[in-house]
Amino acid sequence: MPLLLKYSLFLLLLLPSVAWSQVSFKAIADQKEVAVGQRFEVAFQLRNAKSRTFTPPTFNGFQAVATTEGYATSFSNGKAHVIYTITYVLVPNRIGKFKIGTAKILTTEGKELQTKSFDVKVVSAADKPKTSEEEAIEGKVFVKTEVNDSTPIVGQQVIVDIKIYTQVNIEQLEVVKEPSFKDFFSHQVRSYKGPKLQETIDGKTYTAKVLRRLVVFPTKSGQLVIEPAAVRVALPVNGSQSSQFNPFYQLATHTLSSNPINLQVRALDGAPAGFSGLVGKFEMQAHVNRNKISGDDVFQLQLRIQGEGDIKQVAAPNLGINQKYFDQFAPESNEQLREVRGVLGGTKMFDYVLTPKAVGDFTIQPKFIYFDPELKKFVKLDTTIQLSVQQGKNQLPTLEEIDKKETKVAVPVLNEPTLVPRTALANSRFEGMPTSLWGNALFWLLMLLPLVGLGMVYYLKNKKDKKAATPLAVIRQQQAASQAAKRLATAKALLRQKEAKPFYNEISKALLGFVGDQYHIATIDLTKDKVKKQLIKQEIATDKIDTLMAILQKSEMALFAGMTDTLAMQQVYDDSVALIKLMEK
Amino acid sequence: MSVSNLYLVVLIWLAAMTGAIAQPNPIATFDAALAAQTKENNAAKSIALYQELVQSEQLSPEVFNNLGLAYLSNNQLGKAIVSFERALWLQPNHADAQYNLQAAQQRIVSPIAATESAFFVRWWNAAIGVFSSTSWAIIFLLLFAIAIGALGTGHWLQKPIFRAVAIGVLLVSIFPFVFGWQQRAILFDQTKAIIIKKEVGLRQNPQLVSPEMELIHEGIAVRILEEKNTWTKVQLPNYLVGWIPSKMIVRVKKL
Repeated sequence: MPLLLKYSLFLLLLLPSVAWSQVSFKAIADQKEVAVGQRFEVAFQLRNAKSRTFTPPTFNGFQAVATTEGYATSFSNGKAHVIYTITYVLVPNRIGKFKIGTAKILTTEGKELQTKSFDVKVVSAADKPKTSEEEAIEGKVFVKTEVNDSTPIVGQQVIVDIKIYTQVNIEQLEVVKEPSFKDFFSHQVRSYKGPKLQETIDGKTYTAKVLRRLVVFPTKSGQLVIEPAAVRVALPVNGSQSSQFNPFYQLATHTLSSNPINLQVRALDGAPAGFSGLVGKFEMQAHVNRNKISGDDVFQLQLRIQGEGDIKQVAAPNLGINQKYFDQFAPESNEQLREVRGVLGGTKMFDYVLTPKAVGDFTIQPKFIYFDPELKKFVKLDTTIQLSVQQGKNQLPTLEEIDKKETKVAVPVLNEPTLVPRTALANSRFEGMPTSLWGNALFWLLMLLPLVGLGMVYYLKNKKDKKAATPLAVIRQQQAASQAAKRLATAKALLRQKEAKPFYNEISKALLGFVGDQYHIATIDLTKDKVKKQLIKQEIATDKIDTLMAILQKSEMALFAGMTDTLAMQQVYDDSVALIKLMEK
Repeated sequence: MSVSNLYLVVLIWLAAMTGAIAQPNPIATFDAALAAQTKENNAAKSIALYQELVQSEQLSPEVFNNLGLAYLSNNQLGKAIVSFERALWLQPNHADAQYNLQAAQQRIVSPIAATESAFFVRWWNAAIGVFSSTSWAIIFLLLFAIAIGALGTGHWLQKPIFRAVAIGVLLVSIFPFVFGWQQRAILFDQTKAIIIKKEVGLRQNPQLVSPEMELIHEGIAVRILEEKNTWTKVQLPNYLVGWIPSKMIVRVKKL
């Protein structure tokens, strides 16, 4: 607080140096007589001690509009001195004489100090004689609050400039109190540094400068007041020039109040559905991580809204998605406020996660509607995003299935009687775990059985057919050996009984029969000579023929001669068996 | 009969007797459970007695039906539904169990309606349900035997008409064969389960830290897709798939 320091230093020069080392607590008012509505200051100064607790006085009849506090340090005689000052800016509400009570302070050393109470006379503005100082600056320096639009719309950005106009050189300048904003959202545009301008008002030329720029957004319609701002200026007294070498250079401080401003805030009519409530100028961008996903995945959609206006108030735009097809959670948002060209704006981003509930193609249309005060119309920002969901592991239903289900659910199941469970059953027949014949071993066996039967039928039929189809000669040939064997068996029996005649008879029958069957010789031709001819014709090995002829010859002779030699009979038999075996091959 | 044989027979008879003593008469247990349920109004006791029967595989639709009713009066909706489903497992056309199941399902806090299948699927399922798996198997075996018999007769008599009949019957027999097979699959279906806890969070992953996607209530039927440690992946009737702790569900067709 350099102003206060300088001011205090100036005062302190007049004080005896003894006072410096003492602890003191004082109340100082800059005016003892004020007009209604005129601001004045009361300062409480604590010297050479540190405050632990400060109890402010009662300000009967005054309204405290601002408080400031600060420390000042100075050096004297090699010692540091600290002054702690709490300053109240007061505004008198009505005419009369009002007492400013005692303020109490408790120092860190445990010492309690208090100020004396004093009176301040409040007169009507007309009665208040202008002080020489006030007269001196009248018309030369003043502060004005200016707005760019006095009939804004609810939510519209209004620029509030606290502007100083001066014809004299201002040494010190401080905005003591900003206008208070009730029913507004306000923001100080710190980046704005207004230029010095030359402006002419009522024929007088002033140097004008914007001290502070604020932007406000009215939050409701109707008449709203921007209360005055207070600016403290320090001016050189009597036009003295600032100079290090001028010993008479003096500064006088003045608190200047600006004018209150009335705003007629208009409500917006005819807002379309989905209006975001925002006034200004905006742009929207949409980004989606992928257009095509599987049902197990999610879409990540980012909407970015940027522009000039109350960006904090931007609510998540409606994506226009059907809750049947997607699960949508509240998007995450983050905002960046920016001051661009002296107004407030920024970017707000919304991150949506969309979980698909159905498979198919979807169109989503994020929509953002704002009011443009310059164009005086509603502006609709929208964009179309095509999304496609493919079937994944989750086995989501298709769009059509969901729609169908939805229409089913839409029909309310009314008057469905509430069922009361029946009473317990009294009788029971017990069984084991459920079983099934199907697939059992028995099942397959029972299935196999007809097939086996069928196989047998096929086999038998086949056999029967074969039998019917085979020529007699072939059958005889097939059965030749067995027929011969039968005859030989009879022969063997006769051999045992030593019946020579029937034996030889049987042997020759067996041999001739066998040869006849085997080599397809008609029964009529079964004589020794004819057989021989046939066999030669059929190119049968001569040793076989010779052996056969030899046995037949022997048999014939034996029959003729009536031989009963058992050994010979045995020999004939063995030869016959060997021959049949040989011929069979 | 020799002495040693007689001795053996006595031994076997004694063994059978002790077995009978170890396993109490199911009818007595059933009657005791019924008395606890209807006369004493002691649901917990009747549940314990019915459970005894179930444990010893003395099953009947009536046992499960009554057990379901006992659970219902004991405010165990999930287990009640499991019991009624089991009664219908043993006897799908059991009227009381059907009715009681419906009554129990009405009490599910927020039931999830199953999506209705296409008409031919419904017809097919209705056709399957006409007979049990065993009955379909018998029908199939009869038709199969007839068809094969006709084939054999035709072959023997060399009359082609029999073969045509056989092929016709064989084609028809495909249906009971498939129906029986499907009925059997339904009979031993291990994927059907019921939620038995009041509220269960369906999670994206088999972890407690995974976010809950949906809250499912007691009594809702789910299909088991996969099991991993103490977690089960289930599918809800509305196709939603997620993980729940395995102890939250009971399989209908596994005692």
